[in-house]
Amino acid sequence: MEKLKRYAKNNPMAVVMVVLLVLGVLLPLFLNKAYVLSILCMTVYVAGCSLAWSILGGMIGQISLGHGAFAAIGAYIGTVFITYFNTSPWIAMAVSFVVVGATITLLMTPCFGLKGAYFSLTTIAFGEAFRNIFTNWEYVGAGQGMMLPLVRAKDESLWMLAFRSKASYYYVGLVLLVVFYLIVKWIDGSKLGYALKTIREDEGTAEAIGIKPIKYKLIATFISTGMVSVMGVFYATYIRYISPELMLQSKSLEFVLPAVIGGISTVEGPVLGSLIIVPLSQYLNSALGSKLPGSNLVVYALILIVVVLFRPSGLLGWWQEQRQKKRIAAEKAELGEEGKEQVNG
Amino acid sequence: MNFNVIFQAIVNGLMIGGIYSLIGMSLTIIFGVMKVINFCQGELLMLGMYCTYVLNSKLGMDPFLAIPIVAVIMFLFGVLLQSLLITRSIRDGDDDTNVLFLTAGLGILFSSSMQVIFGTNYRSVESHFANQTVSIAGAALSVNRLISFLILIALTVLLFLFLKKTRIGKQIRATSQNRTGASVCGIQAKLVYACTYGLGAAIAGVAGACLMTYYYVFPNVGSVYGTRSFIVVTIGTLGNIVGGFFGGLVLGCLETLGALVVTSAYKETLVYVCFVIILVVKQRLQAKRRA
Amino acid sequence: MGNILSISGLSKSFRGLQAVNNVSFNVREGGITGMIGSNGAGKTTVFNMISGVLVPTAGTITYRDQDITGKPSYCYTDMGIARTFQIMKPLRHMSVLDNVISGALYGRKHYKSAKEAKEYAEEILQFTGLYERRNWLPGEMGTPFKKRLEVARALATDPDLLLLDEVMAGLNPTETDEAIELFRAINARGTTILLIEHIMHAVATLCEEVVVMHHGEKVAEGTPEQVMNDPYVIEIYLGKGDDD
Repeated sequence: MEKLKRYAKNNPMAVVMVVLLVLGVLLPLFLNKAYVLSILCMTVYVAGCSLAWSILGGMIGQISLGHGAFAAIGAYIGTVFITYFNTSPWIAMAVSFVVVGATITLLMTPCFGLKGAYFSLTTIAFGEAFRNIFTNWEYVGAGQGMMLPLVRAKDESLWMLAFRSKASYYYVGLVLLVVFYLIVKWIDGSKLGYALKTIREDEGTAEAIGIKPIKYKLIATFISTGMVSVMGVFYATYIRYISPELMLQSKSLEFVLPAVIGGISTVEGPVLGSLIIVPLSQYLNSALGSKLPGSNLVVYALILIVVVLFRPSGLLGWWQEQRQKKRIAAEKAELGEEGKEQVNG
Repeated sequence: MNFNVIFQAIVNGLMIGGIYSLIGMSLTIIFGVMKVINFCQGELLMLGMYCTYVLNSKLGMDPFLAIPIVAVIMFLFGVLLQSLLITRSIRDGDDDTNVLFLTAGLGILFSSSMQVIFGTNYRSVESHFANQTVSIAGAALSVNRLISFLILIALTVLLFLFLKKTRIGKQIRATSQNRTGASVCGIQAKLVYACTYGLGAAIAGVAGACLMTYYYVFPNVGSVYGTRSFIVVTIGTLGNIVGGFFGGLVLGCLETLGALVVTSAYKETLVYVCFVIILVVKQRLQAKRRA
Repeated sequence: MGNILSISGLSKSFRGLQAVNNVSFNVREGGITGMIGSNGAGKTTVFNMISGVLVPTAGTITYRDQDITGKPSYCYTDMGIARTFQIMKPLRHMSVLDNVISGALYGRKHYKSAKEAKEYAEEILQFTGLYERRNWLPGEMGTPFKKRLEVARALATDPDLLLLDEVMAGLNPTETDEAIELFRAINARGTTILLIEHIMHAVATLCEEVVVMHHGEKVAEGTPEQVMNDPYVIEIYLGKGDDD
């Protein structure tokens, strides 16, 4: 018990995440409305994608603006597997993790020498090129996209991810999200995580201590794009209609913004950011969408702008900075004498 | 493929490229001074289009005559935007990711605001020369596009005179060459930044007004041109205005000629693939030169 | 003991500008070798070539009888070479401890996880006098400590040869003396040191061997006494340079 208390004190975020998970599991039991459930489904989907994005965008600092398209490729793979091969989306997830991860990594390999915004520009280019190809590709329904049949009572199955209730989809998505979170959390504290973060801070330093930047950029891209495409497969089975619209640049931004709002270089930031922004935007969309279409996006954009201007490291990043400052202030006071001597010395 | 088809494609490419040149130059001038990529450049063009639309539908003004007014409005808007918002997120020593997010956020804000005000309908304006064409050496050409192209030429010349002859123009050039050096010489960086951003917004607005004469406007029209502007400046080297001018024309021709080669359905893919190749090759060459 | 590092005929030109011209010298294993020269003498360029950041135009760099000329810098850690940067490059958003752990993880100790590396990293921090500040961010410390962090991170990779690029620049005399003590201690643990400096006093007290560079060329070499009494060195460098 004592141990648990101490752990909680040192890792308040872990406690928050557990509480959120319990709430997330229980919520559909009390609020079993289709409307609420659809918001929850979207939230876990965006949170999962945002988490996947943060491996590349947050940890190693390569801002991708093509993750919408990469998730959409996963969605296409899932739909094709169900429609043409009658194969389980679970298998599609495994396949798309490897296929999308490897393809995108291969495509991006020559681009890793590019710095900052230049790299982002290439990810936009890849996203747009994929959208163009999928818009003209008859096999996947070209511009019209593809539809999965409505689920009838006898077709319900976990193996095929076909449910009539949104709650079931939500729980599947929640499990994926938890798995994603644990993966990202593990990477964050692992040897791999140290390499990624060192490269983000300074590539020259990374090289000087024996880290080969290109190798880790490839690894991060593979994991990040693979994971986002897995989430895409889930999305396809839930929404049951996909089209090249999913590959629009604005969809990529939908995954980036929660991470920015929550805190780009924190593990929990993307999840918390999604929890704030997705339900809000979905609610506004249904409340104002018919009267003032687009007004939800106005609010969305305003929140983003305010956060970027006043809390540039995100809400969680800011909170961590404050904690750090407090702790350092205490230690500084302790070392006060010694510190002064050295300054005067 | 006969010569006429290719010639027509090149002429069309130049006409399309004119708009790309304008938006590319507007992006590149901002980058040159502030060293940040403005991710809402396409949306500034979209605002210019709506501006023209309002002037036309409310006051019955011909879109070409509206250009100076649009330019002034957009200039002031750009100055405000820069001095109130963007300047706050530019920090020395920090990377430019925050500016990226901020300008991307502004882009969403602009397009969604226009959606709230005007809805998602496509809107167009009545122009004096609508549907008129001229023929140059066998290539058919819409008058509106031709005038837009001439405006591009005129604007480029004006821009150069402005940067070479005027005091503020010289300050802009000095700042883009060496920020610290310029501020040491007593150039007020804040003023230069604001003017530059205003200038960039104004050029994007003019591009929008020209585009409005033969195209229609809708809230998301900017995203296409925003992405194109990135390609233009990459072809012509970021920060280089002459490069932006020719980069736009090259991109326009690449699109129309590319459409002949890979059918127009896949021309986008071709353009983006070329873009990535250019970007990567340039970076490799640069790295080699430095080593 | 033999030479850990031999440099022969090293040259580097940037688009026609000859930054380093035909420089040769040796670094004796187990010793402390210094390289001095005024600004623009080409010291850092030599350093960057030794640590793999730049590829030489001509010449060879031999480390432990192995030709390492032009190898990329991330290969050096495993061979036992580590460096610091003249312009400090701390990992700004990572704590001092994490900075050093990163070095330990990817250095020659080959730790599997951060947990394993932590103990060693803390030992390094104790040794370099940073332990009390292990939870701080680099930006929260003063310059002397930031410089120490650079050294600590390089040391964490467990090098045989440590390259120090002006780690004493910007330190006051007391801090310089403390730094000299630290480098002596590092050397006593068996690490060979090659350092660039333009504080003559530090070089004279610390180094057994000094290489003097001027305008991209080596102009003198020997013990500090020999170098300081070399009339040419006095004329071009010491006469006007030793005032900081």
